[in-house]
Amino acid sequence: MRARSLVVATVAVAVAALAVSFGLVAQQRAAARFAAVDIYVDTTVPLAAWQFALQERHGEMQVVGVENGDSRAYPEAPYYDRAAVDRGAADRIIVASFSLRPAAELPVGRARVATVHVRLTGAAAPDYRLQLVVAGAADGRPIDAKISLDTRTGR
Amino acid sequence: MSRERRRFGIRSMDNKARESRLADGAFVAIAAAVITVLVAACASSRLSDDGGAAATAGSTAASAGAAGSTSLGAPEGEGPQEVVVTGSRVGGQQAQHEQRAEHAQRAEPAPHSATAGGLVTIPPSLSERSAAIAGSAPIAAAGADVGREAQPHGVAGSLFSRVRPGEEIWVIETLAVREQPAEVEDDQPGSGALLALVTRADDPQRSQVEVPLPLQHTDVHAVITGYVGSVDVTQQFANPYDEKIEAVYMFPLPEKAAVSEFVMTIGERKIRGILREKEEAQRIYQDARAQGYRASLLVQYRPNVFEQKVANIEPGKRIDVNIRYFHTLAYEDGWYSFVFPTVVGPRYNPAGLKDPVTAVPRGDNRDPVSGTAVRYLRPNERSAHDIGIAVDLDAGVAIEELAASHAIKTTMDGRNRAHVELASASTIPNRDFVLRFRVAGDEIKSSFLTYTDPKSKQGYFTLMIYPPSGLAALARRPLEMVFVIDTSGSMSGRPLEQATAAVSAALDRLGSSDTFQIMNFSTYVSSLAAAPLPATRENRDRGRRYLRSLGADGGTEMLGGIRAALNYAPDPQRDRFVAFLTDGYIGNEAEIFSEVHRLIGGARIFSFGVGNSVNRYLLDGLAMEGRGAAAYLALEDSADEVMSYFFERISHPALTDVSIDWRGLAVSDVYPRRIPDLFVGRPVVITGQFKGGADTIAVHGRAGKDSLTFGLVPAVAQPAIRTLWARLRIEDLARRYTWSGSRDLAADIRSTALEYGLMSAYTSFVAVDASERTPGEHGTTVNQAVPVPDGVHYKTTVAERGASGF
Amino acid sequence: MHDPEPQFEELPDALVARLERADRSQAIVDPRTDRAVIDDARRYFLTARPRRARKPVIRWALPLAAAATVLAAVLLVRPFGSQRLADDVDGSGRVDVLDAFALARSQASQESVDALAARIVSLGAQRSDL
Repeated sequence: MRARSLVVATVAVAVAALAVSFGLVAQQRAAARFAAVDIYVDTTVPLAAWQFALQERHGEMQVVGVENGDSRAYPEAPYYDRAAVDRGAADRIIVASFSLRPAAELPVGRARVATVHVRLTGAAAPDYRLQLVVAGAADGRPIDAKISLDTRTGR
Repeated sequence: MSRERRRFGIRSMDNKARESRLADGAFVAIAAAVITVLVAACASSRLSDDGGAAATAGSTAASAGAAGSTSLGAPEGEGPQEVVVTGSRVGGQQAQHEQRAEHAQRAEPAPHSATAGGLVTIPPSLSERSAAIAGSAPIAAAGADVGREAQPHGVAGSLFSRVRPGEEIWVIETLAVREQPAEVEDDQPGSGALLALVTRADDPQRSQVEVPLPLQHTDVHAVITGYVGSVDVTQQFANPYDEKIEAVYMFPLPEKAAVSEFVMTIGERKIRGILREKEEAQRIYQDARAQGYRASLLVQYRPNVFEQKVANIEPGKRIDVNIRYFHTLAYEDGWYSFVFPTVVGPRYNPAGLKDPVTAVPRGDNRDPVSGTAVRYLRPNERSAHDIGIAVDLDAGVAIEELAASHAIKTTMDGRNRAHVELASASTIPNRDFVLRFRVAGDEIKSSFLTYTDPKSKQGYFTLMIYPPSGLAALARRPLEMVFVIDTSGSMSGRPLEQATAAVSAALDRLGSSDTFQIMNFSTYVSSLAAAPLPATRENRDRGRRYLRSLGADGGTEMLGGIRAALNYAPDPQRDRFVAFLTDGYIGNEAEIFSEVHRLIGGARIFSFGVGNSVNRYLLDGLAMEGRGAAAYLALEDSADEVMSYFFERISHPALTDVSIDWRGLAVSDVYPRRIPDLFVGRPVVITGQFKGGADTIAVHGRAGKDSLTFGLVPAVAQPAIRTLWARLRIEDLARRYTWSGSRDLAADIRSTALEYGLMSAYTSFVAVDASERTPGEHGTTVNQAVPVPDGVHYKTTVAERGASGF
Repeated sequence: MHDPEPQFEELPDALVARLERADRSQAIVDPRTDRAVIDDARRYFLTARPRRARKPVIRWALPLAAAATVLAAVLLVRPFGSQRLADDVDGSGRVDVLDAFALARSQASQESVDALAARIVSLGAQRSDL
């Protein structure tokens, strides 16, 4: 009788484990998705340099690409902490860029300065936190600016 | 005792207990069956999801009268014939597809029977229908030889669009015996986007026609400062088909390249990729690909062989991938060399090799069981892919002379700077680009470059030690010269001519007190004599007769050649120098290095790369393990001159027992770990880390019986020194891993690569454009076919060897 | 070692031996001994307390020394050391992208600018205030 009890318990545990596994797998499958986080900086003067920090509070964000913005004054992909991102240690990323183009060619107003492409795991909706560290004008002085984000999933 | 045993619940085994035990056993069996069913259900659920993603071109299934039916009878009027049924089910299940693929694979039609790039053809009735729809004959259909995905096809695209989701498509092939050579059977006008419209056999011009493949152009821009090069490689992938594709391209880079940047460009958008552990990068890429996102992945198979994948390139669209790497230039006898390899040579892989690099014909798109495969164009096929190379050179001193392997255009900017471009008429990427330049000065001075990371305070140095010219006056010891010639199929023709000419020239330079041996290897090893012969005139003539008797055929069992050359008792009166002459087209480099490490003893190995696109990773590695040097003999070079340089180098004692007095500088992680001997005209580059301030150091060595010492003052260099150090550390760890297999070394390689942001065997770059999903789940895979290297025979390297390991 | 009782006839000898060893390893403490040990321990600890209480200076000296060491270490290696000052190219008192911008405008080499920018975006040098 005791052996049977043991076997019943084992089967029950196995079923439970498989059920949890199904659930986790389903959750994992549903959660492995991609999104493009567009970062916008809004200024009243030409924007020559910017730096922001982006964090995802649930810790489920994995950076899979960092893209330059819309302005032709910023033709190259921006700087970011590669070592931290490459080690997968970043739930937070700092991104920065600058342009040596003349002020007339620099973006003014609300402009997309960068896009952080991310892979998200987990079922919960991501909770992004965005902070503008600094924005600068063509003469190198800091300027007031507003920062915001928008996400795209291509779906 | 009995009371204590009762406490453990132990029961007796009387008859009643036996019956109970049987019941328990049955119960356990039922429970096990339940668990098995649950596990199988779980696994099946996973498979069904993956199978959907791997379905063959879900939106491009061929439709014909055969859809949903199978006819095993021979077409009317054609008599009894063997019929093989293959099929693809739109959105179907992986298991079912593989089952059919396996069945078709057993039939294994000959590669050269291909018409549409795949290995199945359409019977006349079906062909007529398809022609009526799209005006061309054969259709590439899913089957064993095309792996998990169907081959996209202009015709197929039209037909596939007629199939509704969920319908089945069956293509029936009749295997008539055909003896048509590739030239004729590919000669079908309008035979599809993937095919070369090959010149008909009766065309006296026999002009080549282009194969539309995804890689349009490779652009190379190198900036050389002193002896450090920073190189940007941009690969332009475009989709010439009417459905989206995944492009796959195998290509070479210099084996010491430190690949540190990866950017995917879509229009004006630049997405900088990230470096991850290889498996994780592949997962990210596969996820993105399956979900329809544009993505790119760079994987290293060898230090000089890489695979680029670009997923979901939409019809008519283009995606560029930019790779940046650093490396140091080789210096030899007054000349610096910048080398950019353009094509991976077809490799021979000994049986049982775990990760082969297999050479297969264009159109054979099966996925290998292990390792990877390079697809080669046939001799009369030419891809539209061309290459542009530009070099901005700042030598730091006056440039005396420039020479290149290709036609170039040169613009000087003062005496120290030059801009060099590949001439437009010389852009077929089937031979390495080599730019050599000679700088002013009778003697290149040794240099000591340093860089200190401002954040971590960690210092890095690069030390180039150049042997003093005074060595040229000293005489050498008698030699036991062992010439080992690769006579495998890939050496057929001009390569073997060069190799035998080089050895023949070497025989003339042997001294009366030297001895020599000539060996050759392909599938087997042969030798001139049972033991080395004195270098008398008679014996040298005998050696030349032996060289004239050699022919190139068979596999490249280089291990046999290594063992034959090293595994016998050394002559205590002579220095054994082994000259290996080969194109290096093998896949088991790690085995070779390990064996050399084991057997080298007091001998030296000098490797000669013979050909225009040799495996420099192998050749430099042989020289490194063999404490010798590598030389390169291109097909247009003078074998006599190259061998003359070689003997000039070895005819004077090297600077041996080299040591460095760091004078209080706290150094660590110095590579190479063992400072090799210095030969006249050949510097040695050493890198390492240090702490504290850098000061003058002293280099000591022996030249014969004499001791030599000279000092070096540090100069501040750029951060590239840091990257170069990391790359050499990875190289050292990888080499040690070949003979130890220690997992700690693999972990060290991984962590070093991640810390310094470098490609390695364990790290890969990946970039994903998550802003937009392309229609459909993922694109069809198109493997970029490449030309065989200049001077290499296709028939003896690809057609004969291909198709193993699948 | 076999139990003479019939119900254990089929048990393997090895199992029997192991059961015996396991059984015999179980320690049984005489209650009187147990009480004696506990009493002794209580006496020891009750006696120890007054000794600690008798030396307040020694009692606080160690934590104070530790705090002083930590404070000294922080002051010596804090991020705003000499390197941070060197990276403050524009003299603003903080290190950010404007310093890389200033360096680039001063015609410095691309490698130097890239190296400074890499340090600026390094997470290790940033405070986490998100």
